[in-house]
Amino acid sequence: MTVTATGTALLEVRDLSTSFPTERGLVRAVDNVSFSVQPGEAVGLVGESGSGKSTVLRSLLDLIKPPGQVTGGSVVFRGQDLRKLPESALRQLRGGQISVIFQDPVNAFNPALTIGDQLRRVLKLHRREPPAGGYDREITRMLARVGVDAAGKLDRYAFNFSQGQLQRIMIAAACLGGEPSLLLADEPTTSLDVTIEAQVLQLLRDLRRELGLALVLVTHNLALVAELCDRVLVMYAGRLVEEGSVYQVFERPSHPYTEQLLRAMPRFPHTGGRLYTMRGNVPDLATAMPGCPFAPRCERYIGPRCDTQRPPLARSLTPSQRAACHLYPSVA
Amino acid sequence: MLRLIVSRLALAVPVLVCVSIVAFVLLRLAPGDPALLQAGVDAGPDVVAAIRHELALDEPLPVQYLAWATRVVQGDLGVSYSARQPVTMLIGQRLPVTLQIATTALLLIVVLGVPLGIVSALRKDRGVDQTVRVASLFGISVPNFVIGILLILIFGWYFPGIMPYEGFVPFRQDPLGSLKTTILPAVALGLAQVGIIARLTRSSMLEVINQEYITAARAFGVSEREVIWRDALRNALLPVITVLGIITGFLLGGSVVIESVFGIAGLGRLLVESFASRDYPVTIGVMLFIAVVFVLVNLVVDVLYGVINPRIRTGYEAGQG
Amino acid sequence: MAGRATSRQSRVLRQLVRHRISLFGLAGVSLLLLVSIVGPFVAPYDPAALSPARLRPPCVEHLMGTENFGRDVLSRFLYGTRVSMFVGLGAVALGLVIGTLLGMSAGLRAGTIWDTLIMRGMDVVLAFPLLVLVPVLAGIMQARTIQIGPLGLNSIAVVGLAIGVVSTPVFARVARGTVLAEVREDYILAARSFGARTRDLLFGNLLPNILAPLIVQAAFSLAIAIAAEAAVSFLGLGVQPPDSSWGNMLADARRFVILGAWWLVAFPAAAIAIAVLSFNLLGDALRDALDPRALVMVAPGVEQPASDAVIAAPVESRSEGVVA
Repeated sequence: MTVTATGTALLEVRDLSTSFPTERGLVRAVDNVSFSVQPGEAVGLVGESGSGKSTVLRSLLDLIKPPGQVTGGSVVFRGQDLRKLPESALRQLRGGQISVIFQDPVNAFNPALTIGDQLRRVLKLHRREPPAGGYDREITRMLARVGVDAAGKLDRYAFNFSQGQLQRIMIAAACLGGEPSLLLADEPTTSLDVTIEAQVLQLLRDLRRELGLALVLVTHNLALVAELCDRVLVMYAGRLVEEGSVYQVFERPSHPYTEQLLRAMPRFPHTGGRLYTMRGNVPDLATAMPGCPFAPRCERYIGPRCDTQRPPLARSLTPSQRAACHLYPSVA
Repeated sequence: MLRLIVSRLALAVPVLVCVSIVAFVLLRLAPGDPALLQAGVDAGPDVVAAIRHELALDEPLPVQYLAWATRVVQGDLGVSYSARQPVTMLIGQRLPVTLQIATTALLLIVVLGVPLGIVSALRKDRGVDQTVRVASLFGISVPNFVIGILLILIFGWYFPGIMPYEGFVPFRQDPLGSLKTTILPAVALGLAQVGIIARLTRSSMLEVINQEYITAARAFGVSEREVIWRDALRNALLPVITVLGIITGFLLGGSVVIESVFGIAGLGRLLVESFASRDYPVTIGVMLFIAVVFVLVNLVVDVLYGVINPRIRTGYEAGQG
Repeated sequence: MAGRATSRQSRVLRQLVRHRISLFGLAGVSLLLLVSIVGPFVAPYDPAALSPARLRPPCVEHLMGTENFGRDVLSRFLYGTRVSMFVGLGAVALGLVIGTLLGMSAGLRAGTIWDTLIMRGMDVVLAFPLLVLVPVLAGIMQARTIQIGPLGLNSIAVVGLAIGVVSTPVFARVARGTVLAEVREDYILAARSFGARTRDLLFGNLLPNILAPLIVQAAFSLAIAIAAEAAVSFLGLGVQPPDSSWGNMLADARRFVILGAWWLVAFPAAAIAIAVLSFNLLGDALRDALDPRALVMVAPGVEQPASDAVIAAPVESRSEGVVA
């Protein structure tokens, strides 16, 4: 069960599943994932490469490329199930009430259109009326707000701007173009230099506070989650394996995977000895896994039950923490 | 922009020089004494000697080349042995014919190939796509002159009277008739390339559609139609434009054969005829002309690409970051 | 290293056989090779033998009919298949060897005058449309009856030579491009640091790795070469009678097609189409099979599962965490 009353949640995801047909079989990239996001809350979605975290994000707004598709579940935003909405209504939401920012800002802009063109289009789509003073004036103001001086540069192309600038421009388009109440960020700082990363982080923090934005942050960088987020969702092999507040999950992880993951993080100063690594590899998502997907690598493996029965997401160490592990008997 | 044009021109000049050298070498390699052949059977020895001197035939080869090259640059490609006319005049007579057919073929290729490629990409792996892919595969496999012969079989034997299958009517003489005589050769000439362009447009579109900026555009709420027509197409067509330059080469080369198939008195046919009658100045002259046109067309396409692709265009202006 | 190579070969073979398309290509090529080797031995008539049965459609005595001089089309076709195939194979072999040598040496000396010279030379050849240069080249060579040592070149060899010359640039480009890419790889640096000479580098290290794209290119060039031979022979500047090839059979066909002699067109046309199609398909299949990137097959949209987890050291960590 979710921790807070369902009636007030901004975003309520239930049993979301997304699959991709491949030559090796049907890959279940997202397998019955459920979580919720409160208004103004920041939730981190973490996991290794291939865990399905990015796919979850894209599934929310149905941005999955065919032949992949969202195969089940519901995505309820402000009381409406996005999966049941007609395409036109969903389109209005995208960039309007729910915005996305992408990992590599250089690739997120069309190289053949000017920055001005692309931003103008966002405004035309999501502003109820043309801004006073004209689009260009408004765009320049928006960009100045995120720290990009774009006066007279609107007819330039993406390759004329640096990575850091482009990421800010994307954030401006996402947060200031329409009136989003939810921001979905897919590895927003992974491609950036550390110094720029810090600036972008600060920008996101400020905007969140100013606009009251809820945030779903997908990343493999646990430190980032610690910086920005209130709650953390841990994914493994397409499934949600742990959920809790940032403090709870990092201080006292309840799922063996989280625990082993944190242990594998090198700490400074390093006191010598070998670095801990997890044995084994991530499972092949095309094969069916009846039990817990982490079983082969788990150091707290308790028996055949781990291999044959899928552990449900249930309350673990504290009332507000959940983990999908047989260590924690599920209370119906 | 001007710098772009100049730089591309500068690259083309050495190629053109080398092309002319190749042409000259081939000309001299051709059997027979050029002076004798040009003077004719009945000419007296002093006429022959005068021509020999004029063509610098007794000088070492590099000097001969320079003499020949200077004449070429001034527009003098020599004199036809058999027709006793300047080669350039012969080319001028035949060129419009070839141009008409080649242009029609090019139009056909673009008008058919690009839309087919787009539809094929958008309906990937479905009926239309499979058909287009298979059809273009066959189109590419059958040489253009074979298609030409098959067309003649169809319109000359099985369904005679619908379409003229031989000869050519100049446009000025009879526009409608001219168009009729253009269609079959143009189809034969261009059909194979329709497949190439369709496949290229398709793969280019598919690659573009998978780019992150397309997903980003959708994520910002842009309608699917606009995503395709505005965001995707602009990027997808860039490589297609480059290929059109190469296609022109195929068309120029193809016209050599097609004109022989349909009995059309064009430039390509001139190349073959002149060779058969050992009229080598004409052969080499036509070859050189076609090669120069080919190089220039590719130059134009290069510049065009630079104009359209903003990254290349603004790269030549002062950079900014 | 050797063990890895053989397992890769077997993997390539398995993948080749698996896909239907490549099977068709392989089948087509094999069939044509078979016909070109065995054909002339099973030809029912002498291809140059005249007979009074002129322009007969296919019948029991002449399975592919007869042509204008009464010669059996089937026999001409069988001999012609050998000619056309061998011209194509010879031309591409020539272009491959010379082009690769030129391209490799250009690539190893990239940026020098030698490199520029070679590649400009290749550009010059490519500046001529194929069907303009080949006829003129072939025509002039035949007019001069070229001799290499004691061997006089007949029309077949001349056409092969001409097409070979024109095929060289594309191989040079592929070879050079691949060399440039490979030269940056670490194994070359390592070999160089052990004092390997250029020749060793060329043949010992580079060649095995650049073979793959060259083989792919060879398949496509074969398709082009066969079409080129057909066109040149059709124009009368290629294979000369009494030798038959697909191309010059079509030249005869052209003259009599308006009389409804479809059998003169159908068989050489089909043969050319099958040849070009098969080699193109083979090239496609080889490219898919030999492309190392194709070996890492990932589901679209799913991140690469092959990479390890990247966990950044915390810049400013709120949690102390458990120390190993």
